[in-house]
Amino acid sequence: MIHNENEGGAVWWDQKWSASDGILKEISLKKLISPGIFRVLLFRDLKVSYRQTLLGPLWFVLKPVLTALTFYFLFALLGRADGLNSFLFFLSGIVMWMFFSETLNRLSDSILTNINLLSKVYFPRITIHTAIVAFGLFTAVIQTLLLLCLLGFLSVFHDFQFSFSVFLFPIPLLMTSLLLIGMGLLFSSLTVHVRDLRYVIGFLLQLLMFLSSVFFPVNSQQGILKIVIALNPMSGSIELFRYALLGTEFSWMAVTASFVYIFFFLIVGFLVFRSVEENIADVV
Amino acid sequence: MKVLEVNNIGKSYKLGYNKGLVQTLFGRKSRDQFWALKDVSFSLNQGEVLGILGRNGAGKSTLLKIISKITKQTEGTIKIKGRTASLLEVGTGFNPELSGRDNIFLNGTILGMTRREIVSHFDEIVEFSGLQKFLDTPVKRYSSGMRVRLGFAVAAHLQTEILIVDEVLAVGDFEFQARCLNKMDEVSNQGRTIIFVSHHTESMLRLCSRGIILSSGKLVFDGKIEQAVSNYLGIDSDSITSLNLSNRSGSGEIQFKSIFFSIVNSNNPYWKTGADCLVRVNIESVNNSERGKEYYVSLVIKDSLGKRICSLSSVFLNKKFKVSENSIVLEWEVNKLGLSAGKYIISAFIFEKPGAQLPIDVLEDCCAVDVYEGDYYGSNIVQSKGTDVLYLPFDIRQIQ
Repeated sequence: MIHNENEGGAVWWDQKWSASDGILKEISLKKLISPGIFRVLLFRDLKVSYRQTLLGPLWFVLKPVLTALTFYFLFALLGRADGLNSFLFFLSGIVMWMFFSETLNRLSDSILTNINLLSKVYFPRITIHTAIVAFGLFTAVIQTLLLLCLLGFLSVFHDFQFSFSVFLFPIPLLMTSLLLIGMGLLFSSLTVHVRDLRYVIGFLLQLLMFLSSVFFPVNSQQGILKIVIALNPMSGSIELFRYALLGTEFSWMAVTASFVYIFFFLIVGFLVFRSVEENIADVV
Repeated sequence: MKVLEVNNIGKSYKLGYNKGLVQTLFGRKSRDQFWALKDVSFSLNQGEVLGILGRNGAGKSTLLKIISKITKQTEGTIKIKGRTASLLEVGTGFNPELSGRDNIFLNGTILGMTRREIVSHFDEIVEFSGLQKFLDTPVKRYSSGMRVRLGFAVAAHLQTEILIVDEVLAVGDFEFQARCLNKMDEVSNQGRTIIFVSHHTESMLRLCSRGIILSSGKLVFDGKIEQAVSNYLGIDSDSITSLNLSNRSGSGEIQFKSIFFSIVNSNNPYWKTGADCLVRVNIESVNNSERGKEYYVSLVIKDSLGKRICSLSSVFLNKKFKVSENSIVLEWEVNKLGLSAGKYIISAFIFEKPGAQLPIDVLEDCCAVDVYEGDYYGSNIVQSKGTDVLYLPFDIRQIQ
C-alpha cells in the first residue's frame, strides 16, 4: 500500500474529497474503471447468461440466425428478398443490431438493476457500463467469427469471394462499443430520475431498426428516407461491417454520422453521468 | 498517525417525492430540506477501533455511506489514507446462480480484494465458513444461514487498512456470531483501523476503544467507549414508564405497551436492593391475533454498560400466557432483589417457542430501572454501591 509521509511529518492523504469537488475531478482511466470488478462482472454475466437452458451457449448463434430467417421469409413474401445473398445481408445486419439493441436495453437499466451493489459498496461506477458492453461485444465477436466460418465454407463450395476488407471487421464492432458506452452512460443516468425512459427506449429501438440499414443499403434509398436512414446512429457501423464481410459498398454519409454520434454521446454521456453519479444511492 | 479525517460533514436530503416533469419545469423550487448530518467532525488514528452509537435515524448509516464514498456529502471534506473496505451488508453482490466458489471471488473482488489476495486466503475463507462440501453448489440452494456464513468468511479476510462495518453482526446464528466477534477481535489486534456501527452495545464494548454518539445528525459525544455506551443507554431512561420503541422488532401480533417498576406495598417507581420488587407489564393484541395462542415472555436485565446480567423468563417457570382480552397485564415479583444499586437497562421479549427464529415482539433496551441501595442480608447494614453487581444468599459458620 501507499505509505507516503512528506518531509514536514504531516500526513499525506491518499484520497480527499470535498462537497465542492467538480464533476471533472479525478479523470484518469484508473479511477474510472476498476479492472478487478470489471473482470468479475463480465465473468458473472458470461457464466449466468444461459444457465439452466437446454441448448446453452448455442443460443449465441441461434438467436441471430432465427431472427434473420424470420425477416428473410417476411421480405421474401413481399418480393423484396431472394436467395442466399439476401439472407447473408440480413444476418450480418441482425448481428450488429442485436449487439446494439440488447446491450442498450441492459445499459439503460443498469443502475436500477445494480442498485443493491451501488448502495452498499463504492467502486468506479462506469465499470458496470463497460462490463455490460464487453459482454455484448464478446457475443458479437463470437457471432462474427462463426459468420466468417460460414462465409469461408461458402467461398469453397459456392461462388462467394472474400476481399481484403475482411480484416476491417473489428472497426465497426469497436465503433458500436464506443457508441454504446456513451449512450449507456447518458440513458442510465436519465432513467435514474425519469423511469419512463426505459419504455421509450424499448419502443424507439424497434422503430429505429426499420429505419436503419439492417434491411436495405443506405444508397438504395432516395430523398428524405435516405437521409433518415443515414442519420441512424447504427447505419454507418452496419454498412462498414457488411463492407468488411460481404464486400458491399457503404455510404460515407452514414459513416460520418456514426462518428459524430460516437463523439457526441461519449462526451455528453460522460458529463451527465458524472453529475448524477454521486447521488445515485440517494435517488433510487 | 492519522488515517481518517472527517471535517464538518453535512448531508441534506430533500423531503417528499420527486415531482413529475410538469412540476419540475414549471413549479417553484421550494422543497423542504432535511439535514441527516450536520457539522460532524472527528479523526481516527491508525489502529483505533471506533464505535458509532445512535438511535435509528440519528445519521449513523449516512455517515458510513459518506465515508465509504457511496454517497456524497453536501458539505465538508473527507481525507483517507490507505485502502478502505465497507461492509454494509453480508455477501454484497452474491449471485444466486453461481457456485459458492465463484461467489467468494465475486464478493471478495467487489469488497476490494485483489485476485491474488483471494487466492492466497481461499482455503482459510472456506474453512472459516465451514462450507467445504457445498463449494460447488449454486448459492441459490444455500440456506440463508449458509449465505451469511460465506459472506462473513470473505469479509473476515479483507486485507484493507480501514474497515467500515455496519450492523452485520445482527444476522447469523449465535455460535457463528461469537466466532465472527473473535475474528474481529483478531483483526483489530493487527493494527487495523475499524469503524463499527451496531445496536449490540455488548459487542461494541468488547471491540471498540473509542465511541461517538450521534443524535439527530449531530455528534453529541466523543470519548471512551465505556462512557459512550453508558451515556447512550442513559439518554432516554429518565422517565421510567415510557418505552423506548426505537429498537422494536418481531412479527408484532401482540406487543408490549407499557412497563412499570415498583416495590411491594409501595408506589415508588424504582427498585431497592433486598426488597421484594415488582414489574408490571401491559401487553396488547395488535391485529386481532389468535385468541387461543399462548406465549412466553421474558425480561432481560443489563447493567448500564449494556452487559447482560440475567433474565426473568417465563420459560424458566414453564409458564405461558394467553392474551384472551384486547390487553393483559402481567406482574413479575422478584423476592429479595439481589442486584446492587445502579441503573439497569431492560429488554423485553415475547415469543412462541424457546429459541424460535421469529420472535413475536422484541424491545431491545426499552427502558431503565434505578435500583437504590438497601439491606440485602437483613443485617441492618446497607450494601452501599461498590463494584459488586450481585448479592447471593449465603451464611458463614464456624465448623472447626
